[in-house]
Amino acid sequence: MSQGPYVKVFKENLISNNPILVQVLGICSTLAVTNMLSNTLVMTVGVALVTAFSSWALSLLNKWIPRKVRMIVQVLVISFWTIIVDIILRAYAPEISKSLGPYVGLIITNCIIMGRAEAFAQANKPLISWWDGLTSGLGYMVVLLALAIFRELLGFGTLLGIPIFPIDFAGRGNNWTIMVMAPSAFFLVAITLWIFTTVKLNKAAGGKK
Amino acid sequence: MTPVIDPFTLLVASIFTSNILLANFLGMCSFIAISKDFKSSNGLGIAVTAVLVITVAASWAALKYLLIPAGIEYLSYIVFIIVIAAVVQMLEMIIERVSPALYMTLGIFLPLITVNCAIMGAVLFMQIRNYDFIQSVSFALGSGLGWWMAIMALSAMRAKYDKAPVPAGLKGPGITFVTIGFMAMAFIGFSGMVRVQ
Amino acid sequence: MNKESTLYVVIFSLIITFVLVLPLSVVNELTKARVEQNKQVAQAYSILVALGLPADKKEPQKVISDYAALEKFKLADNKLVPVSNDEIEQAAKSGFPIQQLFYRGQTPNGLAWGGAFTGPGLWGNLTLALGFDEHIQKITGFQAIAQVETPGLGARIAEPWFTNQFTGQKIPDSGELKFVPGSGEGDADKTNDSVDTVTGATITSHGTRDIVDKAIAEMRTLTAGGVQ
Repeated sequence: MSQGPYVKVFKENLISNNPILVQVLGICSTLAVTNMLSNTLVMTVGVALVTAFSSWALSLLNKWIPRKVRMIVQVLVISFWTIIVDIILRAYAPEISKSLGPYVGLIITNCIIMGRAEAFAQANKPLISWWDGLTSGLGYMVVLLALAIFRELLGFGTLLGIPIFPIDFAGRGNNWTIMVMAPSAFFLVAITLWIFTTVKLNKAAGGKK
Repeated sequence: MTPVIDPFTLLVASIFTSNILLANFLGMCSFIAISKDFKSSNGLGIAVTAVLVITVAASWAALKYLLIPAGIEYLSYIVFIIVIAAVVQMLEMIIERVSPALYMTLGIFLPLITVNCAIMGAVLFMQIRNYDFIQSVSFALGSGLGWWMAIMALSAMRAKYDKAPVPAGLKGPGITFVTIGFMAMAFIGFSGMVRVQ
Repeated sequence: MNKESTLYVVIFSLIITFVLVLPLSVVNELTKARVEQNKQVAQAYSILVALGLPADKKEPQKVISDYAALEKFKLADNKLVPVSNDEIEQAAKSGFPIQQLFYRGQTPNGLAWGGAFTGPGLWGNLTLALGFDEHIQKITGFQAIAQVETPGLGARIAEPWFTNQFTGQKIPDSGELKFVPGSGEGDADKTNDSVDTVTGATITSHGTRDIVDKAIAEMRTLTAGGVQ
């Protein structure tokens, strides 16, 4: 069965080559912003768009970039799109811009974007590079949203700021604060990796799911 | 407005209580990848610390003497990344001359320091918090030392658990994250220790 | 021309820098006014809410004009001295902006005092807008104007559940409002002598407490003798 290249890229970036679960890239922001769903939404949309447009631009410029300055040009193009996202947030969503703080600027160093630029945009045409960037961002988004839903729900009892659980479900007047702090992010990613990898290994061994 | 923090407190806080890796999650990619090997972890830790101090200092100067006076603060990210790239390039040349063995061990991870989020992160924190020069250098030095310490600790632990019986699904990045999670929890224990201000 | 030659690299670098920086400066120019206005509206809004006056971010022009209508004071010799909007603007233009302004406004609940107070948080400074009733016996409102605390932890001092604790909160005679660990939903009792901290954000909470207590002391001293 032949799949169109676009469908193939989509499937790979979302599942078989998921940036976080398989390539283990883009971890820094995963851990930092997933304690609140609203931050995660904005961040992931930002990353998806920056990745898409950076890959597109770099693919266009491919022929002309000298080898010596390849990495710096990649980084400059990524910075360019990140600044655009930053300016737009500051002008039209100042609350979220403040809430994300330095993590908007850190989109530049998000390994996923560099990774796609090196692995795909260099060797492919602009349009499919744009698509590859976008779908990688989507693969990133899906994992982060899942983590954020967990963390915000258990840590604050809310989703997008709307209370869902009564915070006192532990019965001691405390919510599960550690969900909001650093370690939980690491543990949750570990658990997600565990489930994902085990399913993958079972499938590969031809065993039952 | 520059906050009133004693630089030494800032130094100690950035190593322990606000460890740039375990509390701010910055610098994870190379942290996970290189901690497999103890010697390279050591080398990378030193390199990252050196890059952090020089870059934050240079970026502070760029901010104060170029970006703010010229009113082009919106170009900060571009200027910072250029400074980082330049510093890393210089460091690469120095290491190649001084210690070819280290140069070979680090391989691709040396130029990759350019996109190590810990470096850019430290620069951005310096900008957002309005540190003065001495505070910036203390913060950068502390962040570097903290990062170095964390990668040494992790690589020592990996030497042990890489040989331990771990469920197949958890091998590799999985168990590494669990370990880092525990390290992060341990470091939270430091937070009462030092009042950052 | 050889792509790898030094001359090409230099020309390419110059062109790409130009190509990247130009659109950025355009976008920046287009949005500059808006970003600046956002900042002014945010500051004005915070002060109005802290004083207990109605303010709606969806009506930026009204927020700005209500703010302009407040009485303003600056510090001179540790006393409050009235200052006009024009004087404030002149000072800013001359490069020596007035460092701290105090406000007084007529609210449905009577006269209210307010100001922006700064102090150290965990990562950097916290700037809080605080409002007090005429005799500094109650806090009329609390807003976080500027903070760089950890998102999801210290940064929560900006959230409504935390800030609402201060609206109408009685100030103990000692002048020190206590900050105690709570349920995470905020202390709804305005007559006790404490408010809840942000769970898990000890240093930010303590920093906030210190700023609030210092502000109470400062306002009590400054308004003690009465002002014209």
